[in-house]
Amino acid sequence: MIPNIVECHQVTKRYGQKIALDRLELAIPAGRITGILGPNGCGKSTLFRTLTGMVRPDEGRVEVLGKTPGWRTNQSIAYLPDRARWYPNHTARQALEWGNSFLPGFSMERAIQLADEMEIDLDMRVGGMSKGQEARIMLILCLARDVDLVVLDEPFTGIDVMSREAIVASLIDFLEESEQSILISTHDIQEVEGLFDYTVMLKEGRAIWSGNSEDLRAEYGSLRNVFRKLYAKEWND
Amino acid sequence: MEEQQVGSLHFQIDFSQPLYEQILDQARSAIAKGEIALGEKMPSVRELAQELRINPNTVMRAYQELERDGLTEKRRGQGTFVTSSADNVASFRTALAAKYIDSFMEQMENLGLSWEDIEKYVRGKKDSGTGGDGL
Amino acid sequence: MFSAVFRDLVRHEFRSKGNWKKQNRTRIPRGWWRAYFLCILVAMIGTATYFALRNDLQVNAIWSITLGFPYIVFFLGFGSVKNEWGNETYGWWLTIPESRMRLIAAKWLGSWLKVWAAILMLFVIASVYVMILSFTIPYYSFETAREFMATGIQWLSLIVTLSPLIIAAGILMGILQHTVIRPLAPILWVVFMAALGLTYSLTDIVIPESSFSPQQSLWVSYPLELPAIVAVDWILAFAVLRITAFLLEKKLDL
Repeated sequence: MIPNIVECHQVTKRYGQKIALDRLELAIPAGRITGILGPNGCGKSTLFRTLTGMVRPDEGRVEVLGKTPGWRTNQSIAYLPDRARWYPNHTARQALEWGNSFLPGFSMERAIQLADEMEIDLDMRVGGMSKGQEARIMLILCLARDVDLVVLDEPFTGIDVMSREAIVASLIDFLEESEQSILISTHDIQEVEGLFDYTVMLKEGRAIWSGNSEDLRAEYGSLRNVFRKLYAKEWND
Repeated sequence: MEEQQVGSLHFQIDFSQPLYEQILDQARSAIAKGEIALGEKMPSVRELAQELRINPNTVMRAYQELERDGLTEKRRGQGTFVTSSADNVASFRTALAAKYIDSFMEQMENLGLSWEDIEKYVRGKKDSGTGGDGL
Repeated sequence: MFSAVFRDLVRHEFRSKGNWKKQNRTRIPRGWWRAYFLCILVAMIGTATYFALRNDLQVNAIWSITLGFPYIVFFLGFGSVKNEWGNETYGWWLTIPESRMRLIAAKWLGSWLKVWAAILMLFVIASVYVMILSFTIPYYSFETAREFMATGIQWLSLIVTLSPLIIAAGILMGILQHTVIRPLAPILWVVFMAALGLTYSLTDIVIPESSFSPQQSLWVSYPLELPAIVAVDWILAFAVLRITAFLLEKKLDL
């Protein structure tokens, strides 16, 4: 049996009156590229913050790589935070050096190669970059690591089409070369639905569907259509 | 759904159907039809995954199946090539044709049609000129 | 604790990382900022020199420009945390796979080194200036310069040695905003701001009146209370950092 890379049992997290995760039950198999899909506010980011130990659930049990999340488990997790930025005074090279210093499994050589492929000028200051260029650097910080799990929270949001394509292309290359497990959350699956071989649909803090993407397609059609149907309410609001 | 050209192959991927089967079926038919010549190099897994924007593992699995079919062969360090054996392609084509006919016959029989009826329908179809490309 | 990673963390904290909010304002080129800074510096030196030429300058008054330092030091610590949220880099910072104590200690040490750097620079510039006065204007003797430097060392070393606790308190306030105990923040603000005022009354204990008189023969004289004050300050600083690391590990509320 393939061990699960992520397991959630009855996980609840509240913010005041608002429930971000509602008795979430989830098991994500290892070695897959899993899409965590759902509209904004469905609990994707809270789930990822729980997996990286930044947020502790009010109730329930979370396991990542077979352990309770904390700073130690982050040694084996490459994490792209949601809506993250980078330090404006750093140059691209300093950002990569930051990764080299603090992120276990980081390969500077690989990072420089990725920067070259994604057309990043290493001497450029982050403060002078477009959002898309900045996003590419942050993605490199995750993809240049040899770790068990890569967690990318909304890597395609708020960036230009060119950067989006560069990011999708480098993700495909990354998938081809690595055996790592990858979780990618997104609320916009256009152009990327072919990447996911396992799919989790979140709605109001619960997993309303999870399984092989191909099974989902065979049963319901394209992820995009399923997405539209499942979240019809949010769409009409 | 747009058609995408990758090397000498072209694909039409419909994201509402399982992707693995589409890639496998379309690659098989391209080889069987001779769209991609004997001994020609197949696009790399990476190239195909990039063009179609799909998971490379899916492409890889389809390629492994093509190899098992005897339609392609891996050359160490060079990539995947269409088999240079015309026999392999021919026998695959025959086997596939037999499979299609089996399922066709089964459907016809489910309609309660006799062999004579089927023959008549097929002949009529052919004469009206709307037959397929033929294998 | 003192590994290569810790050293790199401290270096990272010591360096300027920038601020997106300031970034997005209409940018004034760096050259202009430098020019403005130089203008102010020249104006200050000019004014001081004007009074000095009239034999009116009480050189010790120069140290009054450091009066705001205790508060500046506090906000240095506070800002080192606040910037992570302001820049939206906190996700990166918090997921660095190092112990929370190390993360906090690096911010603390980075800030303290900044305090050292600022104070050393100020001391050197001010001392050189007064030295020059003492050589060029007959009214000011070498004794004046010596006395000026002695006062500076006493006051500045008080700031430097007390700042561990002040920085730690600033860092605690920065983190507190993002934990489940954030309702305590208003009380602690009042407590810390009031406590910073106490720094000034410490000068009465630590810098005896006699050291201001030219007859003072000792180069620098510290009272016996100082080591005790420093020890208490440092122990408390460590305790505050421990509490902050605990909050970071267990009580974060994002």
